[in-house]
Amino acid sequence: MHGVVNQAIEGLISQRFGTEAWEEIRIASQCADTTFYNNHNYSDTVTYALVVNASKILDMDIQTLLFEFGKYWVLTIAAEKYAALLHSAGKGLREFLVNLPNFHSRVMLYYPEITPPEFKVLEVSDTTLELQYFSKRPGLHPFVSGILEGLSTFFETPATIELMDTSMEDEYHKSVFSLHF
Amino acid sequence: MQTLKKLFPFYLRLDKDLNIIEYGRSMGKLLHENGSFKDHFKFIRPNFGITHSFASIAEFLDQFFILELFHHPKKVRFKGQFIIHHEHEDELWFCGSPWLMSVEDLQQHDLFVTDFAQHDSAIDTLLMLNQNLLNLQDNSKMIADLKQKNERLQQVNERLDAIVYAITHDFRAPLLASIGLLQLPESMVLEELPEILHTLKRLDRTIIHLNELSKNEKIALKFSTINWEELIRESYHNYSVIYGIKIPIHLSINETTPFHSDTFRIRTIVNNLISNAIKYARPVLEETSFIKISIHTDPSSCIFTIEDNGEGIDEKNLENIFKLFYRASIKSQGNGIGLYIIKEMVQYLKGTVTVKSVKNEGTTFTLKFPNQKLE
Repeated sequence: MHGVVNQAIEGLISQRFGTEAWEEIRIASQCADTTFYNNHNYSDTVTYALVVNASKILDMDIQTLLFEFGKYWVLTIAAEKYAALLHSAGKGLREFLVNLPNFHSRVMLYYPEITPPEFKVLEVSDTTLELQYFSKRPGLHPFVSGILEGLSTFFETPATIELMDTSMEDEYHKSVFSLHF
Repeated sequence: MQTLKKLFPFYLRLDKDLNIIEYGRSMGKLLHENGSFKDHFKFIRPNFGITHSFASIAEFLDQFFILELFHHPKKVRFKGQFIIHHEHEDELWFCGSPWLMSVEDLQQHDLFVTDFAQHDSAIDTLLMLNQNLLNLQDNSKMIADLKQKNERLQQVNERLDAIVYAITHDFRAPLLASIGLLQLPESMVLEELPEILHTLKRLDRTIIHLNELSKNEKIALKFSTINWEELIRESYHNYSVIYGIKIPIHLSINETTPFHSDTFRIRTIVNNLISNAIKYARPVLEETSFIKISIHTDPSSCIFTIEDNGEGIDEKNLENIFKLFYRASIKSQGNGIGLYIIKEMVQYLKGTVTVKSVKNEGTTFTLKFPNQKLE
């Protein structure tokens, strides 16, 4: 997983539960890294271990935690590091999401070793978008929900976000979200 | 023609007189009127030998162009090439896109990623530049991390050197002495047994101290309520038994609020202070010796004072007593670790420690700890 994802996990836990809670979770997860770098790739095992141990130690269910991590990622990490980039992709949330598939494809140009998720966006109507998320990593749809919620706040575009379906397509975990503007 | 327009949304169509007869949908966000090419654009490259004429540009068709839109409120440069369309030989087409140096530049010109053609690597270059900025951030962070780790390693190294020195000198001497005594004739060995025992106990105490020192680095802080009375009574009892000396203790605890801190470290600090107070009592004073401990706790801090009328410390040695393996004289009973541990642990707890002492009158240590909050 990309370093910025782990930064979100560390940032949220430290901010809401204190640095000691973060240290406890980090040690329980056998994570030797004390700093996560922006452009460094970390093993998925570490990220999953951090989430599972955070859930145990903070006594929160994994889905809620992943949702909060996703929201925090947009509103804190991305807002600090990629604000101009996000704004360059669209005037509002809808336009941004339409460009999302291209964005993730372009990312692979300068990070050939990473496995970013893929997206398909269907413009269902003037007020509704369907966003399909495909990932080789399991169980991350609450994280995507949180990201979408965070993006709605970031772009100041109120939207109702609903998870419609989760399934498997070949080796991909597919999640379908409906966004109503 | 439509395909070309789609592939180059910043295109320009110029007639024989270099009038702008058409421009792309994205170019329209920067160029708001047709007019003459010369009134809007200047040549940055090629610059030498080129003029604003059809024929002149046509001579440079095999070259890469940098143009500057100078009438725009914020000057913007384009990179691209001129071509003569095979169906319109009296027209020049400029196919290219703006050359921007940061993602923020996009916003400044009110441009979006979608204004660029999908194939255009200009947008990837911008993304790459953004990533490079993050790389620079990473590099600075890595340098800071390395610097911190290096300083820490140096400290550990210095301490290891000191420990190795202590082991080779301070441990070996009493061990050799004990070995020598044990090699005496059996009848004499029995006589020397108390001395051997005393020597080995001192060695054991040194090992315990080194272990405490090592634990201070490894064990995470764990806060709980400190029961001062119980902790002090227990420590006092243990060290009175160890040293075989009973010195009257006066304990005054003024707790307006419970004190929360790390029990392991507070206990180690108290043990070391009480141990010293008993160890350095002056035998000549006999029952007039005393140890006074006062504790005052409030919601933000706790002040712990321990005073004795023991041997005291020479003024010239006071500034060194917290150094690792420092001993005021070779006759000193200590191993030079106890006070160092106290200083290290107090620092770890974000507290302070001060000492006042007069030789042959006594010593007072005052420690202040922050009162931690329990979650």
